[in-house]
Amino acid sequence: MTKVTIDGKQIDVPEATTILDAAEKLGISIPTLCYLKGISPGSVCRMCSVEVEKVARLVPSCSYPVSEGMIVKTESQRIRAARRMVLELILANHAQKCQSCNLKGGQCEFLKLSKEYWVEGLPVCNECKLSPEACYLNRGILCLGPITQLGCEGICTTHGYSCQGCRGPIRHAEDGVKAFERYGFKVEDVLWAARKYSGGSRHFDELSRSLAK
Amino acid sequence: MSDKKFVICNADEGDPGAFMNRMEAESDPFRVVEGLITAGYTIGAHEGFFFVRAEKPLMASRLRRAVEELRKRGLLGNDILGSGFSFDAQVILSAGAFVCGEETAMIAALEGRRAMPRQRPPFPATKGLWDYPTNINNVETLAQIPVIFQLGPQKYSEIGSEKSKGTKVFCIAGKVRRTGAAEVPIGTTIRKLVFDIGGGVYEGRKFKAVQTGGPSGGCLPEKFLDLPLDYESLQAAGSIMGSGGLIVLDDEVCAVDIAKYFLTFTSNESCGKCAPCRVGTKVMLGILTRISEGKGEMDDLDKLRRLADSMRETSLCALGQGAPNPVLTTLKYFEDEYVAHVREKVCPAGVCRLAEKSEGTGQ
Repeated sequence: MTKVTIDGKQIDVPEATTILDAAEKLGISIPTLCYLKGISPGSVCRMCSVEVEKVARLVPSCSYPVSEGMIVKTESQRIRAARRMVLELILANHAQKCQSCNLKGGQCEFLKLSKEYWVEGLPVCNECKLSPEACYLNRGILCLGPITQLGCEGICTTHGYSCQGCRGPIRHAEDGVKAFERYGFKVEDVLWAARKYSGGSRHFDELSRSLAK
Repeated sequence: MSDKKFVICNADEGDPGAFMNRMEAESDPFRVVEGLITAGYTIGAHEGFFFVRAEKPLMASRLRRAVEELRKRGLLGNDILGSGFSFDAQVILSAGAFVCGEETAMIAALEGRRAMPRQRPPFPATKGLWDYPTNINNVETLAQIPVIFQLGPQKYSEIGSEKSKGTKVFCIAGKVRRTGAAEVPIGTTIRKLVFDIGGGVYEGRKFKAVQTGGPSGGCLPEKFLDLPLDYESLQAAGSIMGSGGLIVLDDEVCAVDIAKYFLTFTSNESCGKCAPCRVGTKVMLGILTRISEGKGEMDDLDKLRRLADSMRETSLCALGQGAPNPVLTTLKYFEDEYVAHVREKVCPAGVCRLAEKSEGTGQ
């Protein structure tokens, strides 16, 4: 048996147990994305990174085995910053895929974690509860969901009103605006609609300037 | 612990501007093979591998010939010279990617799997090739073994610095008069290597910086010229010894451009397994490209630092952990150049093609 301390709590676990499993026994939950119980860990997403005393870098808890006297921290400013960056990086080449994703209504672990770690740049579409068939854009109605910062739980869209962009554009909304062209909308029309609420904001300014280039 | 063990010679040298393994294994392959046999004898392994970079076929063919020759003379094989110790080695060509030089990726390649690193622990010393304990050493390390036997440990440890004994081969490349490999005692200063051995920069040019340790190393400016080249001093300066490559840069080289060059290399060579390296190198390269085109913002410098810190902390292997080093060091020692690119939209070295100053934005 190996004695470890996780977040100040001590536990005895069999040798070669991972930090994640040991933490689970203590009732401490560590966020994971690529980890799937029963399948050998890939240590790929780095979401489960934790601090281990005397180890210079953060370690992935899903595959890192415990050792005698190990002291682990699962929450700190440093860990939060690293996890947030991981989420931001994954989002960097994922953002526009959320529109056509079927995981809605809190099933998406990535979305859940992104909200928990305050990741900017996710559009309202990610929270929207409408099915792809019911999507306003697919029905030819201009909805600013794809370029608007989430956080409203998609109240308007569920109540029969398309998104008006009241929460302001997300960062790097340029790609989102171009995506409207797929649905047959003109860039000018989209910007005109977005101006209603965000006309004076810095983000909108940057957006329209970069689109004009 | 199992009885079966392996020794591997890592000859997968992939850093741009590094050719010390090649120089050693091509000029004296027997020295390297002798080192591997000694290593095998020491730990009780009976099988060894040379993992040679496919782009260096001469190194592979010379090592192969040396192995065959030794086999013919009975210095490799069963019961070597009647000592009861059996050892055989074979030369294997690398799968070609830069990341194959990472020890766990190299093991994967030797096993016939896709060459991607895996999380350590378990370290190869406990669970390596086919899950047997494996000892992995670089060509250079193995080539030192016969020398230590020749000189004796006492005499050998007289060479080198306080903490690191012996010699190290450095490859001088870049904007320098005499490029090539030079073997010097560890702890020799950068000035001696670049100016005395390398002959300094070209007529009329001014020395600007030196990139040590390849794409995972750092870019050290003029004030570090008297820095002794040993592991501890280099780490303290924000760089690494790495393979021992020294790429000399003169005043015609732009700091942003050189960071972009190394990031292009690491983002191309990233195996794509872990998120921080796969996406991080791409995003970092994007920001650098933006700055070098004159479209950067002051915000970007902060973003680079934040991203670099996270990549260093969370990447799976040394490729991702080391990739931000050229950016961090150039950002630290040549911040004024970055600022000039962003604020004044000029490249002080005149390398980057910046876009015309933006006009008509109503400012």
